[in-house]
Amino acid sequence: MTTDGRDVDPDYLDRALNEWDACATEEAIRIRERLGDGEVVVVTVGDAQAEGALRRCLAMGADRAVRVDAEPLDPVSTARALAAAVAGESPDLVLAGVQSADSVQGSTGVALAELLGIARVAVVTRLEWSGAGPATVHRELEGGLVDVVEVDTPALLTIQTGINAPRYANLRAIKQAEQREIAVLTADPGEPAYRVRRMFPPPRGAGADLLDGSPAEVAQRILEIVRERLA
Amino acid sequence: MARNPKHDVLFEPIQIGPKTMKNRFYQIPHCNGFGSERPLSQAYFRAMKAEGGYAACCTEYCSISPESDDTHRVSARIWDDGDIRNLGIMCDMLHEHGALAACELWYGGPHAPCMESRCVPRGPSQIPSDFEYLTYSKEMDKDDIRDVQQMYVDAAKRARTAGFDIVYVYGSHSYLPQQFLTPYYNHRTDEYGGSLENRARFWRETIEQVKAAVGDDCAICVRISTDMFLGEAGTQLERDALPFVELVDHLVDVWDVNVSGISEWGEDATPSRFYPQGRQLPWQAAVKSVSKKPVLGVGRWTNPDAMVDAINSGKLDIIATCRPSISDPFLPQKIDEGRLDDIRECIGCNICISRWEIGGPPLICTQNATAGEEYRRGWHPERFEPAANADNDVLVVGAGPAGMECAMILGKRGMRRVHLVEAQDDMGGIMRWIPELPGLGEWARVVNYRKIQIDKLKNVEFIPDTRLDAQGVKEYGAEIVIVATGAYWATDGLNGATHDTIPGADASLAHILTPEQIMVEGKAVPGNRVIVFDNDGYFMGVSLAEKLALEGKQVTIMTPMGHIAPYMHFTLEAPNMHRKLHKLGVEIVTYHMPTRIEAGGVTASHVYDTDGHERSFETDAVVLVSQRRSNEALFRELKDVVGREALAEEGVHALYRIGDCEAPRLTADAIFSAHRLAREIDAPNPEVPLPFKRERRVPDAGSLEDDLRELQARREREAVPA
Repeated sequence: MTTDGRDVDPDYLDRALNEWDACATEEAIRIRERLGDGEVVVVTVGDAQAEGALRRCLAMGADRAVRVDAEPLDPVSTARALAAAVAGESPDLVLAGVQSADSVQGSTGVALAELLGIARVAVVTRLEWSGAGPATVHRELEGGLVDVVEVDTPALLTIQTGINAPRYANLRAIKQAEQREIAVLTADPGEPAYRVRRMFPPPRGAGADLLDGSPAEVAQRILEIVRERLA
Repeated sequence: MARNPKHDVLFEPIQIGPKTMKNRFYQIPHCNGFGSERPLSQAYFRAMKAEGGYAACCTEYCSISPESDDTHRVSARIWDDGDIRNLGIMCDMLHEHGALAACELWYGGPHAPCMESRCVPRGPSQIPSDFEYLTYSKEMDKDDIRDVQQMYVDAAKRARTAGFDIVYVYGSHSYLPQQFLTPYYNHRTDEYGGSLENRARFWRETIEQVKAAVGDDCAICVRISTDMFLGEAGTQLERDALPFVELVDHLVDVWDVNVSGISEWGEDATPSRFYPQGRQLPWQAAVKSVSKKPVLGVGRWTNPDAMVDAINSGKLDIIATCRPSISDPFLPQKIDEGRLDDIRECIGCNICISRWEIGGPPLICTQNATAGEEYRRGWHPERFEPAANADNDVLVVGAGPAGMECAMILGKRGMRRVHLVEAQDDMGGIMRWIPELPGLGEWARVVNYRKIQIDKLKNVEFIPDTRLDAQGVKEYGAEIVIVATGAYWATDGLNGATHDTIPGADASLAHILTPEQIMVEGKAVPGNRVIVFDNDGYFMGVSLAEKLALEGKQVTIMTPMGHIAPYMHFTLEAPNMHRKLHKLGVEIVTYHMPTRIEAGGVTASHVYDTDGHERSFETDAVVLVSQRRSNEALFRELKDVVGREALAEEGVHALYRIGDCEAPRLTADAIFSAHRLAREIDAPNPEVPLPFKRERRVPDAGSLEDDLRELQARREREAVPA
């Protein structure tokens, strides 16, 4: 942890494109491939180290990349940092990951939709769109339920993993992506809506019980424990 | 990272006689093919374990006299001053790492064939060896007993001079002291035979004499087999071993406790196919319960929790490892540093042991390609030189054992990017399904270890579900391409006996199957009767026979060889494999080669038949375990069709192949070939292995020079004047 106890020491971090963003990028590339037209622009916010993820998206097949040079501290200020850059592209569709792999907040995408003033659908597992007009999307609900909705575009969809299997970039594409220009914009993320007071590994529990005996005895004991806890 | 406090007990020092071990990790005596005559290979090999944290390392069995010459197998020898000097190198190197050096003094009796020394071994009675045919000892009289005991004393003194801290009087595995203890070998009627006290006399006296000679300076270790599994005739725990321990406990500084005799020593060096970790614990605990001295013992220990449990439950004091120390010489250090997921766990395949049983070649290890290469190739299992051509990107095609190993080592050598591309959805290749054969579950450690390592390497990326063709490889963007596409089982009966196919053998038919069809594709084996044709000679044929018999089939194994699975004699799996197959009612037909396979039956002839006799065997299905062939289509297309020039135009300047794709061999060999290429990826020509150092006598070095001078002098003396 960092000395102030509020974050993970960045020296111990290995940066990579998170799997929700990989799925969102893959979905965008597939739409472009299906339509035979269009442009996939990938946008992120962060310092120069964030460009590794953009380059991976370029290697997968994105057309352009934009980095907003800012260091927002929470999902809402992240959305604020992104908003102008995204609006400047006048996109027909904005795809974001459901959540990030590190913070797992699940709010940047929907906050961005609010700031852009466009419709949004969260946790999308299937997307059908002709390139104009409304899109038909499947939302994943609890208990295996699927909500099928039609949404007017432009819209922002947060993409769930499993919607596709993101393609791998071969070495040539990775090398070519390294040579690409990445546009850098600046933005003011504003004040964060919250701040981290403390980050810590969860304390260890009281320990585990080891059950001895024959399989039948152990099974019997497990049954008793479950019944005790249920009661 | 730091050690988990629950493992602290493993790092507590322990006193053994006049010496102290710095922790509880001990490398038990085990062979490596180096002996006293490849002293640098020997020293570097043992010292690697000391560097990896072992508190003490032992020689292999170390002969005390030319009468105990195990040639064709390789033992250490401490016969003279030359051996003292050679083994002294090992002692010095161990001491540099703060480890103790142990010497396992050995006299084989009737088991030592003395093929080099031409001596006659001495034994308690004149009984031919149950391990080695045509090998007898002469029955020892009282003078012989005194002579041999003096040999132990002299050898112990030489061991002390060499620098050894621990000296054994070794009995386990049916060697001389334990032969005296055991009615199976000891038919004497004098005071050295009969009662336990008499049968123990030779060993007790020998321990007394060795202790008197070197006991002030060296710890005395006695290695005893506590049960030979030979019924009444063999050493038995309650009747023989425990009373013996009590009898001599005051003379002994540390007990090395195991089980078995020599003819089935796979009961001790247990294949994972038959026994789990810690199999000897009940016997070790029994000795611990009657002895006041520290007890050490093997158990193919790889799990630190199990080690801690063995110590905390009072069953062992010192964790002795043989095969796990070959598979990972840094086992103690990795536990100490809390790096449990870096432990390269022994899979219990016994390929290491097979080399000793074959008689001579240096040991190999499936998991650790560097085992035995410490001196001659200068390989360190944990240290990797940055590659001189690390600015290259590498494509490895195929993530079986060889592809995984190569990608992992190249990653550790710091290549810019390594892409490991696999057609299937996960890594492992054949090692994804081989561990599903009966008893082979632990072999999956080959995959697990490498998968975890690859996951940690930021410069290695695994790409599943991607089958590359030559075009895809060419345009992939790698400077170096390594093809590791493995091998497949022949579908037409092609075999190494006739060098031809078998008429009627065609695995596209419903009643003819290959191992992959059964294990990977799930092709149903029709009917009830199955013939497994095996000309592979190792585990595949018998494993499939066992699997199908367990599923209720009536199985026959047919082979042109004289034994089924002959290589399993070398891996010590044969006896229990035979027991299993026998119990399952599997029929065994040796020396028979199928001449024709038809629906419903196989016609076969005896391989030595010259009169055209044929036998018919009715069957519903035939499994072909005849031979493997390399999956070399991609490599051939890249090299022969695309060509090096066209590859170079796309930036590919090197194309190699490794593992079974080059030639289908042992998994240990496939992994070695991958490791070797990765170690030498920046050599002038990585395709050809760099020469390794050979320990041999050459005319500019020491004693050979003297020999040559003497030869010249003799020629001059005996020259006939012109």
